[in-house]
Amino acid sequence: MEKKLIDMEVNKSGKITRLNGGRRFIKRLESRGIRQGKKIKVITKQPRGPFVVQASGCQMTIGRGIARKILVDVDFKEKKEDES
Amino acid sequence: MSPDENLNKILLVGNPNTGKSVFFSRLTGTNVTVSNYAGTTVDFSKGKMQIEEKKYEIIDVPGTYSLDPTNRAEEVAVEMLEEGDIVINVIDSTNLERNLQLTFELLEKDVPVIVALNMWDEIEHRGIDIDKNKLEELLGVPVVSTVALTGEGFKELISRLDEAKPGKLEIKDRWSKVGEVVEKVQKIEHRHHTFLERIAEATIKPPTGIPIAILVIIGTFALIYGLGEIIHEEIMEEIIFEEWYLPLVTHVSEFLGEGTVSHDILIGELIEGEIDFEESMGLLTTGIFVPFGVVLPFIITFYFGLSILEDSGYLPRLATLVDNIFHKIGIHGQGIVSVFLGLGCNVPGSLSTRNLETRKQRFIAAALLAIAVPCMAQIAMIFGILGMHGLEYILIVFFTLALLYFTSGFILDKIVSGDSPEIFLEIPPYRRPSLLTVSKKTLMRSRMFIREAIPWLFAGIVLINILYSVGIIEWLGNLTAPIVVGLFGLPKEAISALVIGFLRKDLAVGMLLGLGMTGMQLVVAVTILTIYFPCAATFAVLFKELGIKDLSKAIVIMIITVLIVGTLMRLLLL
Repeated sequence: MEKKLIDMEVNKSGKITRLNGGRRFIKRLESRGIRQGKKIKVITKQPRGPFVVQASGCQMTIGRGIARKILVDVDFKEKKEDES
Repeated sequence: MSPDENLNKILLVGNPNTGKSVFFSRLTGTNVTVSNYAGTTVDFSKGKMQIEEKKYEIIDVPGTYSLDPTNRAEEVAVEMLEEGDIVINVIDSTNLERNLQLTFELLEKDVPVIVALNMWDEIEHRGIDIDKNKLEELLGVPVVSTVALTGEGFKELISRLDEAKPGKLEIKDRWSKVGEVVEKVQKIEHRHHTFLERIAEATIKPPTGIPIAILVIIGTFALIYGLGEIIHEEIMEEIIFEEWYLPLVTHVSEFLGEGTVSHDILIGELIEGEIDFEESMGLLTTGIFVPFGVVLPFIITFYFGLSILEDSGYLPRLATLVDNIFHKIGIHGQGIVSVFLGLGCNVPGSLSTRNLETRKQRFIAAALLAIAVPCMAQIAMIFGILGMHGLEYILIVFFTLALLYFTSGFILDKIVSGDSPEIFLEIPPYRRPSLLTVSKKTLMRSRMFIREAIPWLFAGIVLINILYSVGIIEWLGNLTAPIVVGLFGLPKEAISALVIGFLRKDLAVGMLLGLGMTGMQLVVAVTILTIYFPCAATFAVLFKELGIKDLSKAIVIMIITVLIVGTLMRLLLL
């Protein structure tokens, strides 16, 4: 099932299916390891504030607006050795 | 650079948090500012290195994630790439995949590249294994492993500089290429959560993170204040100045004779027949006592505390926790870093606003800094003159300024046009700060304070003596009396402090002594002194960063603010 990252629960992970935004927005995310096909995990959500996520082996704080534009396949079952 | 000079330019290029700045100081032998925070190097540093006959110029380029810049600091990085002869691509080995993305972008350019897998010592305990020979083969450029903190691998790096060559790759799908390479060279063994990782979680989840943040901030400032007071009073004042220095300057004073011009300039005025380090206003008395006796102790403790916060990697977490509040004032969590740096000195504070994405954010962050964030030099003097009245007087000042920071920010967010993009910040893993690096940074920043402050302080003291003797202060005092006396409820002589505040705020605060003001009047005066105008050094930086138009707007805002706040404080407190 495809979900917006903003609707995901803490500690849940999924595979990024789409980044909804302009070329610049996508480049910015991609250069830091958030891109299609990557596993992403929600570490925490600040109350009405930003999300802390982990992707490509690195933690990042992202605003809610950004989290709204990241689409994630939450049914994706990872292989064990993929753990990052 | 002309080739006949044989000066090759080496650029250090890499993501933020890869230890580039330590790398730089290792190569050049100089002490430079480094930190575990995305984007503390916003201005580049240059240094020189000599290997046998060959001289190199080393340039530490601000950390960037991509050669397609998203903010001012990254733009600087890309512009600088044009002039490099060799690029050393510094990589955080514990984060190979993300770092290699920039590497591939570099390999597409026509510039010789050598890759340094930095922080090599950290991969083993994280269960990471990287086959660097394989990586070298796949990238087609030299790859060496380094540990900048200890210097491990630097010999090999330097001996292989000549082998650096352009990648000249043309890659259709850079991301999958990165994935392919990582797959081939890196093995990760699953490890249990380390102690530091557990702390990392606790400090970023709101239920535990917020109380921890409050404790960290209070603890840090209590330490800065407490330790600073001890050094200031027990060491500087009681021993160095009273026991050692006073007899010396008293001799000078007797030798010159009271009333002579040289006495007026070097020693200043005797208070009840004796030298008073705070009030005499001579170059050798107040001019030496203020920077060394009062301010320096707090500068040292402040930068020690700040360096630990920076190097441990705590600041990005704090930025995350406060993002919500800072979002309401048109900036985002990263704004707190400008505040912290600004509390040391407004100059680096203003420079750090470059890490914000839009003009609106940079303007608000810089304006708020100039209005409501006093620098450590000024704070130390505030401790000095208000401390004797009681801690609550100091707290009123800081409470007022904090309130002002957020109210002004809230209003500015509404009236300044433009976008306020959201936070997008890397959270590096915690690293144990190295005592050596922290001490080096503290020393370097303290030295910078002395170098920057002394000329302005001396100029200020000479100027105030001239202005007094030709009667300008009196004339200005009468001219501004309707505001200073009428609105703010201060003695009209307080204008002298406001004039000197253009040069040095610490000296200006010191000048408020001896005007016979009550504790509350002092509270109003030091608050006004913070708000009304930045010091000359900050002014110059703001001019450069904001441009004349925005700076003029900021000044208008400051003047309006100081009139409102000064009057309100008078009504409430006096």
